[in-house]
Order: sequence, then C-alpha cells, then structure tokens
Amino acid sequence: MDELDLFRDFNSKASDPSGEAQQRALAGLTRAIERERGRSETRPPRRARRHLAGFALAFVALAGAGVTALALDAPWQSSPGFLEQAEAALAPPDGQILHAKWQITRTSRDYGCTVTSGPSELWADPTSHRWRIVARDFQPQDAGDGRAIACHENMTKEFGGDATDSFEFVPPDTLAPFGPAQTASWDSVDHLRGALADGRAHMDGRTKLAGRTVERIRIECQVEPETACPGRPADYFYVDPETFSPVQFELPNALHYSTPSGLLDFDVVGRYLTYEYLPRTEANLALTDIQAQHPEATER
Amino acid sequence: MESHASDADCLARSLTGPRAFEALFDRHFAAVHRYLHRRAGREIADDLAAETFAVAFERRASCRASESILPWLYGIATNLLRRRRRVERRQLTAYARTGSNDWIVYADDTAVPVDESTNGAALARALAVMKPRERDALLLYALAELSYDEIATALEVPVGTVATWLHRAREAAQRELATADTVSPATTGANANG
Repeated sequence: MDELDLFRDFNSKASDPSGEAQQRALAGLTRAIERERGRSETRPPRRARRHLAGFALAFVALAGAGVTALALDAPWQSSPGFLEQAEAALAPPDGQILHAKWQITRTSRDYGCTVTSGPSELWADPTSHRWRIVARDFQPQDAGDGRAIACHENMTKEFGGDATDSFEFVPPDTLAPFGPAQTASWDSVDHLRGALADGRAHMDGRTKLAGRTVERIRIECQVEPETACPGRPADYFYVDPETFSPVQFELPNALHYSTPSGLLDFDVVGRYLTYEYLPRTEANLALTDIQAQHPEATER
Repeated sequence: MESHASDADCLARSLTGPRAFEALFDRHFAAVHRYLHRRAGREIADDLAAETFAVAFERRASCRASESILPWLYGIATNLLRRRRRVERRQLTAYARTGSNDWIVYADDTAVPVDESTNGAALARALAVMKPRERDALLLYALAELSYDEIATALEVPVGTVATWLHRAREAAQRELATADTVSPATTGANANG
C-alpha cells in the first residue's frame, strides 16, 4: 500500500457536525446573502452584474462646456493624501446625472481571442435610481459552443429601469422585463470608490497610457481574509494625476459567463471615453428613462 | 428541484438569485466540516466550515468548477486553516507524543479518545514534520479524497507542484513510519516544521 493511503484512516472516527454548528453556519451564510441582497437594492454585485448583461462599466472624464466633470480644478501632487483626495473627487455630485461612455476589450482565458467593442453608454440618476444603458458589449449566451460564445462579436442591447423594475428594449416596440431590479450603479467607478473607502486601493506609481501620464491604482482582493484568495490577480484603475478622472481599468480574470460547457473567463480592459455629470434638466432626466426614450413601446 | 441541479448550475443561478447558494451549503457542509474536524478538531471545524461557505458565497463568481465545487470549497477551507497552523501542529505533536488525539470528538460517545488505527501516532508525527503545503496536499488527497488535478485546483498551483509535494510527503511518511516500530510514541516528540 502506498504510504499516502495510510492517512485515509487518520482520525476517521471524527463525528459529523452537530445540528447546532450547522444551524449557526447556515445563519452566517444567510446573513451574507441578505447583505448582498441589501446591497443589490442600491448596487448590483459587480461580477453578477457582468454575468447578467455583458457589462456596463465606466469611463474617462472629458469635461465639456456645460457639464461638471468631477468638479476639480486644483491640481494635486502625487503624495500622501492622494488616495483620500481621489476618494473625495470621485464622490458623485448631488442631484446631477451621470453620463458615461466607454469601450471594452475582453480576452478569453479559455480560447485566447480578443474582442473590442463599444462604445457603450450609460445615463444614471443617483437620486431616483433611474438608469438606462446602451450596452454594445453584450455577449450572447446562445451563440453555440464555448469558443463561439467567447469569441463572438458583441451585440447591442438596451436596458433601463429603476430600483423597482428593469426592462430590455426589444425592437421594434417592446419593453420586456429584465431580471431583478437594477439600479444606477452600472458605474464601474463604484469598484474604485469601494476600494478607496475600505482601504484596498494602493498607489502603484505613475505611468503612461497612449502618451498620457496617469496614476496607477492597485485594488486588492475584495474578500477578507486575504488568505481566502491566494493568487487572485489585483485589479487596476488608471486616473488622471491632477483631476482624478478615471482613464482606464484592467480587471484580470474578472468576467465569467456560464455556458453549458462551464464558465468562461475573461480578462477585461475598459477605456473611458466620457465620464461626466450633466445638469438635472428635463432633457437629461429623459435620457435615464427607457420608457421616455421609447414612448410607443408596450410593456410585455 | 435543487437536488437535481448540478453544482455548476446552482452556482450560476446564485449569481442572480443568491439563495440558490444554500443548496450548495446543504450538499457540502458536512464534508467540509468533517475534513476540517479531522485536521484540527471540532471547535475549529465549527468556525472554519462556516467561514468557508461565507467566503465561497462572496467569491462564487470566480469559481471555475464545471462539475462539483467541493474541491474548490476544500481549497478555501485549507487556506483558512493556515491561520490555525500552529494549533494544528501543536495538536499533531501532542498526538505523536502521547498517542491520544483528544481534540477529536468521536461519533461514538463510548469511544475513548485514542485513534484505533495502528499507526495513528506515527502518522501524526509524520504530518507534524512535513512542510505545511506538503501536509495540505497530502490531507486533501487522503482525507478529502481529491485527485492530483483537483488538489491543484484547490490550492491554485500546477499539478506538477502537487506531485512534488506528495512525493516529499510520501518520503516523510516512510521515514516516520520506519521508526514507529523502534520508538515509542510516548517517548518522542515531533520535530515540526509547520
């Protein structure tokens, strides 16, 4: 007999878990589930959201006339306090409408193919939790086998809703129910905001992207304790060192699609084209409203 | 209905309906608890088995299992156990020295807290002298009954690394078991590494 097999009997008469231990563990799991469900009332879980609808991530600030872009005009130095200042600068301004536009490049970890898509576009009102997204990075889950799904050109879909209902616009004139209620935080900058708030964001030095100087921020594993996620790569955000505007993000092994042949994994790079806050006008509010954009559509 | 769904199905479903994860808890809690109990005792198993499922729920989107998620759960449990490594080593050393593994709670209340396997103390001594990762690999193989590939998945290392660790674990076991006949458990302690 192999020596290793001798260990199969080691402490083999240990008892099964007590009912009390099992109940206590289940209660802990239930609390975790309820916490997530509570969060989803204001923010869909990041990876689950991507699983649902391709993804809707976010963007770079290109401040234009008449818009507020992160409300920063004083340059800050890259020095102690940078992350705190970034956190303050990235806080959404009250009462304004987020408008974001971005491009996604995803690379399949299973098949090696790379697909770039976009721009996708988001309008979101943090006050009413109403949002609308035109996602041009939506992956079909019925395109065929794993490779076909992983390497398929992206589709365009339009979704919108508020904290109560969400819909997919199905051309030519239907609003179909779309999963659980979603809210305004298709904004992937929330990932950076969360990391800044709970100390998982770390400055990683300056670098250049397409000739532009940017500050690289590393985001550590979201799960505590750290030992629970060995080997999991960090995410990165790149921000403008002076205005803190988001420029790009890199999410290794961050996107997962369930297919009949198993989960497909992707590395994702998102490049922000626009990240701005618009005044709270009727016209801008209408941009967040999928029903207002498709007044002839009927709800299924 | 959940009982007919595969682990991968439940996992995928839990991404949009978190309560679907409870089916995976029902399915695998006892196995994870038992693995931890056999390694570190019931008290630690009670804590870490619960934490394993809480962590697994939080990390579920990163799980790549296409069939059973049990290897992945064992990997999380093993990683969590590293924080209690000193306790585990102390228990193994005591077992090797005294022949009594009284951190184990037995299914049979009448059982005395002594492992009835003939080599219990020698096995404990062998485990105590192994490097922690070798011990992890060995106990995933022997207690959790994982294949080399599944151990590699659980510990997130190449399968060749698993083979190396198990080879070293086998050598350590051979050494310790060879001395078991000549050295009384009550007169020796483990020269622990981990």
